[in-house]
Parts: sequence; structure tokens; C-alpha cells
Amino acid sequence: MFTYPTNLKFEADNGCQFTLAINSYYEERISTETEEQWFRGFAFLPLLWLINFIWFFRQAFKVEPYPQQAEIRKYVIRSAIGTFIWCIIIIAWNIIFQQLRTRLGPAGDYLTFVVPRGYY
Amino acid sequence: MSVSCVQPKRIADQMYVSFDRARSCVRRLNGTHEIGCQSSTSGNSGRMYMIDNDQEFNSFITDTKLIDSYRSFIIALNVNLFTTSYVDKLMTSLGSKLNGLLLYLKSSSSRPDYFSQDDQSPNHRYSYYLNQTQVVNWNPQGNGLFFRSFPFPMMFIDEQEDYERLVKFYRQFNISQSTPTCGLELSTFQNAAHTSKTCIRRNGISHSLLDSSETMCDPVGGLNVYSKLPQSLTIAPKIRQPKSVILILAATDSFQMFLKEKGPTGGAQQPATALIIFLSLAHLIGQEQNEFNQQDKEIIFVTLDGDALDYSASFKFLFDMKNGDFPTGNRNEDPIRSEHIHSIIEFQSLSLTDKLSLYAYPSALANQTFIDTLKQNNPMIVSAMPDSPLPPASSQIFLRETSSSSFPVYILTSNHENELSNHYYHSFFDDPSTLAINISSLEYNSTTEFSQWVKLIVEPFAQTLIEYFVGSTKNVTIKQEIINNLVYCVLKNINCPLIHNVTNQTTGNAFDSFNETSLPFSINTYPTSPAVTSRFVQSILSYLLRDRMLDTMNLTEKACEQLSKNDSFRSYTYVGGYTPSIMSDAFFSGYCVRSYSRSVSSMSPAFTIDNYDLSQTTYPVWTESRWSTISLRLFIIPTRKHEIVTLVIGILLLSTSFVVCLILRYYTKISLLQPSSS
Repeated sequence: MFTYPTNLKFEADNGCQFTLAINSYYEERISTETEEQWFRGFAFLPLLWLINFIWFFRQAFKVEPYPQQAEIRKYVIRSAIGTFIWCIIIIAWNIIFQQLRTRLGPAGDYLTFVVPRGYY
Repeated sequence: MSVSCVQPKRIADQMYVSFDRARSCVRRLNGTHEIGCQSSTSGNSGRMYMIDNDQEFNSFITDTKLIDSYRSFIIALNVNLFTTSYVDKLMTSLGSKLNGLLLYLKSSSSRPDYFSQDDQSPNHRYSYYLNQTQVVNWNPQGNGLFFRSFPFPMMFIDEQEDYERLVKFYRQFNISQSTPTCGLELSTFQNAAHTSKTCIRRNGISHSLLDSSETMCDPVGGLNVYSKLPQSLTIAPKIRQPKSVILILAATDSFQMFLKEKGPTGGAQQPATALIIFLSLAHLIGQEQNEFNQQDKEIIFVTLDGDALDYSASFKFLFDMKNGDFPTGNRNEDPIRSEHIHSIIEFQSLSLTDKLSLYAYPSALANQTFIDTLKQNNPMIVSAMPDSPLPPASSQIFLRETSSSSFPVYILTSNHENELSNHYYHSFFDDPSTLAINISSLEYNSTTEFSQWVKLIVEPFAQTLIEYFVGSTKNVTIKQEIINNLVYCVLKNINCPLIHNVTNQTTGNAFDSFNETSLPFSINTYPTSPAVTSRFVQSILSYLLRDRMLDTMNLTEKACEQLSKNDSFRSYTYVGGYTPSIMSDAFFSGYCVRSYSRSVSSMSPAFTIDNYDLSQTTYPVWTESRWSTISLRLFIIPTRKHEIVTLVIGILLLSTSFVVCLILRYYTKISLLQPSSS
């Protein structure tokens, strides 16, 4: 991700000094993004959670702490757990279907999307 | 300057030698099993090894070094070694390395004496056989291989030129283990699997909105045809009398383990002989129709298509009869039920023998007078012991479904001491040579020993029918020419003058595509298979049983159409006329033919009954798989050294090309090879 200055110090004409916290805009964006991605993933989209986890992993764990990082970390971890649960479900269904496809009779055939030709 | 059109030759085509006229074994399914052979989608290939006799077979089985050195084998086996013991031994010793079996016939004179893959007791696998305690092996040389399921493809080379080509390549390349060897690829991928129930269910599955479902198998069935003299119709309010219908049965189908697209299907002894006798008898009944029309009994000629596999056609016929659908068509015609049937006569498994066996069952209902008259008129007929077990015949189902209590059946067959005389029962070797016919020299009007034999059977039989039903003794004769023509059309060329004389222009033209083809007798699937056999039989049968009064009238085609408008029970066609069967003195350019014939689907009732569970055994449920390509190709497997050298050269070339490209890129100024600037 691009680097940007964390703080910009300015000196105004009247001698006042102030720091423009411009980076908080990006971190706010990241925080909202992880949160929104987390909610979007509930529409049976585990890949969104996976992307959430991978993309924002660095921001959540590898960069020095900043105020919004706790929020980001929370959602990144939740996405990781969600992806893991989905993996279990998908692998389990895969194994069950492969074992039971022929034994279920008609149900197995109607669940099969591409019916095999020439083999049971 | 001339530009010649050059046919581009792909290297892939030059690598293979194809054998296009090979027969193959296909997959069929029934309610509980699958039978036949299956290959992988892209074909099964392996090293070819030819086994010609027993010694070579034993030396191959024990040569473990050779078997271990290759991953898969395709065994080319002499057809004389195609027995259960050899095939089983081969399968056990090679295991999964046996990737295919190619049978070959060296020459037409070296065919085995017996070749039948049907069971020893045909059509006896399920309880369809009439419940008789004694199991008789009618086909003792049958090895039952047709009904087994093989995980590899099996093909058969029956043409002598193909065999010689195969042997030439084999001898050229199979000198020792180090030279390149021949490999074969058999591709016979079948779409169907498991059982008929699974396959029919899968036929209708389609999840996508764009693609429609793919059909993987078709139910076995064709057309049952029946025909009778058109003058005797029982139309309301007339009621049909009990015991007033006689059915005469013949089969129009057979099966063979190895079949090919365009080639003889066999079936000369069964069912062609019975069919020729059946049609000749129909001609005689038609010829003597004035006699038969004086009495009140109807003789209906019925052909059944699909009885070779568990009697599907007979079950359908009886199912229709129970539901009042026999005869189909106009509802005003009183349906025929089992109480209306007087008796059934069947011609089954006949061969050119000097003695014929007559089975009558049950003995309590069989009419001894009829049997005695038959034997008296034709001394060739020998009657079997009363209540002896019946040979495989459609009548068994007629008896079974009516508890053998309604009517007797009479079966005429050629057997000797409970063994059918047919050595090639249900195989494609059952060809006209088994009937002492030289098919290559057979002409449209050749009189052969066989056609004379048919005349000797048909005339006394018709005479007996007249004596028994009409009551008068009359000498009936059939012109030898008619039988000769029938023999030619059925056994050599269905596109013969006879079929064109008895059909109108459009129907006759449909047979032109079958020029020089004999009448095919194989498993038909409905409605995909063209079932030309049933159409052929129906056209000839309805013509032979026509109303001969119209032969004396010179009608135009328009007048014929006018007649058909007022008659919804009989059919009218305008044909050229088959001269040998016309008795009147005047000959016209065209004749109006008034006939009564119907054809109905002969698919097992299992496929038409709603909510019928296809795994039940009430009715047979045979289906045949669909397939797309069947091919047999030969190629050369190079030696190990050759393969390694090819690989090494390939890798060297690859790395050299990388190096050259690198050099050109960095040390020259060719702009095409420089990295792009953006």
C-alpha cells in the first residue's frame, strides 16, 4: 500500500501551528471498508471475507498502531474466522456429496449439475 | 499455369491406420444390470498381441516378463478362442492390463462350427419363461457372453482384407521386444450406465436454461405389425364371437453381440426363415380368401419386434389386448380379448431341416384333429410329446398372461431332441450360407433348395388351415416365383422389384437408400432406429392379404382416393401391382389396394405406464445405450530408446530456442524482440 506522511505540520501566516491529520481520512476509509466488507460477506460470499483478511492484514497487524487499528483488527479477524468456517462447510459437503451421490438414488442425480456420461 | 487442389494431410492422420468395417460390442441395460462393453472417452489403447491358437494362448499367459513390461494390452484373439474359459483366463491373468479385445475371423471358410453368445436356455433369465419345472438347454453351445458386462471394449474384424492388413502390420513390427510394436486403439464410448431406471431418469435431467437434456439411452422397441383379410370386420353393433380369432405369429428381430452400422446382421435361420414362411402363408390365405371369407373365423397375421430380449413385444401386445387396444384405430371395431382367441400358431427358430417339430400346449386345449391333419398333409412335421417344455417362443408369454387356460398354442420349430438346429443362434454368423444359399450368385428369381423347401412347408400348412376351418379339401399351390422373390428381398436386397410393386411411389422410394442391404434383424430402439424391417413387412403383408376383388377393376388413383374417404377401417394405396400374385387375366397399369393393417409401438409397457418403477420385474425394461463414435485404429509404439531420444531432443531444442532468443534480444537491435518501452 502507498506510504503517506502521518502528520503534516503547517505554519500559518499568523504564527499558529497546526497539524493536518490527513492520513486519518484513509484510515477511516479502511475501517469503514473492512466493516462493510464484513457485512457484505454474509450474502454467502466467503471470498469477500478472504479478500478482506488478506488485503487488510498488513494494516491490521504489521503497521504501527493507530486509533482505528483496533476496529480494523476486529473485522479482519472476524473475516478470517468466517472464511475458515466456510472452508469447513464446503469441504465437508464436497466429501459427503462424493460419497453419497450414487447411494442417494434420484436425489443424488437431481443434485448433480453435470450428469456423468457412461459411468454411474 | 495449373493450380492443383492438394488435400492437406494431417500428421495425426498419417500416424494411424483405421479399420472402418469393424463390428463392436455396445452397452445395453435392463432393470437391474448393465451388459456389454464400455471404453474410456478417448478410447482404450495398448500394445497389440495376437493369439491365434491354444499354444500361443498358454505361452502368452505364462510369459510374465512380457506382461509386466507394458502398461496395457489389446489382445487380438482368433474367434475360435472366443469362449468363456479363454476370456475368463485372460481377464484373470492380465487383470486391469487387459484394455480391450479384438476378435478376428481369418476367412469366411474358417468360421467356428458353433458361435452363439446367447444363454444356453435363451430368454430364461427371469421368470418370464412359462413356469415349467424342466429347464431345457435349447442352445447348448451358447456361452452367455452377451449378457455379461465387460469393463473394456470388444471389437470384431470379420472382413478378410481387414484381417490381412492387421496381420501384415503385426508381422512386420512384432519381431522381438526391442523393435517398435503395434498398438491398437479401440474407441466405443457408451453413454448409458448402471440400470435402465438410472439411465431413463438421467435422460430427463437438465439444470441449465440454455442446454436441453442429453439422451443417454433409448428403450428397446420397434413396431408390431398385424394384418388380416379386409372383408371380415366386426363393426358395432355386430359383436365378436368367442373363439373366433386365430393369431399367426412371427418375429422380426434378433440380436448379435457384435454389430456394425452397415453390414449384415445375421438372423437368416431365426427369424428370416420363419418370416419367409409366414409371408408365403399370408399370400396363400390371400389367394384363397374366397374360401376363408365363407366362415366366421378371422386369421390375423402378427409380427413381433422386440421379443429377442425378454419378450418385450409380446408383453406389449398382451398389455394392449387387456386394455382393449387390439386392434387399434377406429373405436367402432370390437376389441379382441383373450376369450375371442381360438388358437395361436407360431413359426419360430426354423432352419433348413428335413423334420420339423410341432409343439402344442396345453395338451388339454390342443385340438388333436388339427395336429393330425397337419401331420397327414406334411409328413415332415413330427409332434413333440404332449406337455413337453416349449422352446423359446413368443407364445410362452401369451400363455403366461392368460394362465394357459384360454387357448392352445402351436409352435413349429426346427430342433432335434430339445436342441435347436441353429448353430449360430442370435449371432451375425447366422447368414444365408447356413441355408445352403450362395448369396453372391442369388438372383431375384433363383430357385434354391431353400425356396423349394419353403414351398413344401407352406402349401400343406395352408391346406390344413382350409380343411380345418373351412371344411373343404382343396389343393393349394403357390408359385415358386413368389417364394424366390421373397427370399431374394429378405436375404439379399430389400430394394427389390417386389417392394416397389406393392407400395406407392413415396413409400417405395424410402427403400432406395437400402440398396443391396438385406433385411436387418437387430435390436430396434424406438423411435430413433429407422425400423425399416417393420415397414417392409407391413407393406408386403398388407398387399398379400389385400381384397383381390379390386385386382379385376381398372381404377384410377383418384377413384382409389375416393374409396378411402368413405372407409376408416381399411387403408387404400395405389400401386403398380405384383404380377405373380395377381390371378385375373387382365393386367392394368395400376391397382387400388384395399388392405387392413396396423402397426403399433412394441416398447415394453414398463415405459408407457405412469409411475412404473423400472426396477420392478413385472415387465422387461431393456434399453440400449447411445454412442457417438466407434473407431478402431492401429499405430506404432516406438521402443523405449526411441521415446527417450525424442524427449531429449525436444528438451534440447526448447532450451536452444530460449538461448537463441535471449542472444537475439540483448545483442542485436531487432526492435521486435526488445522489451516494450511502456
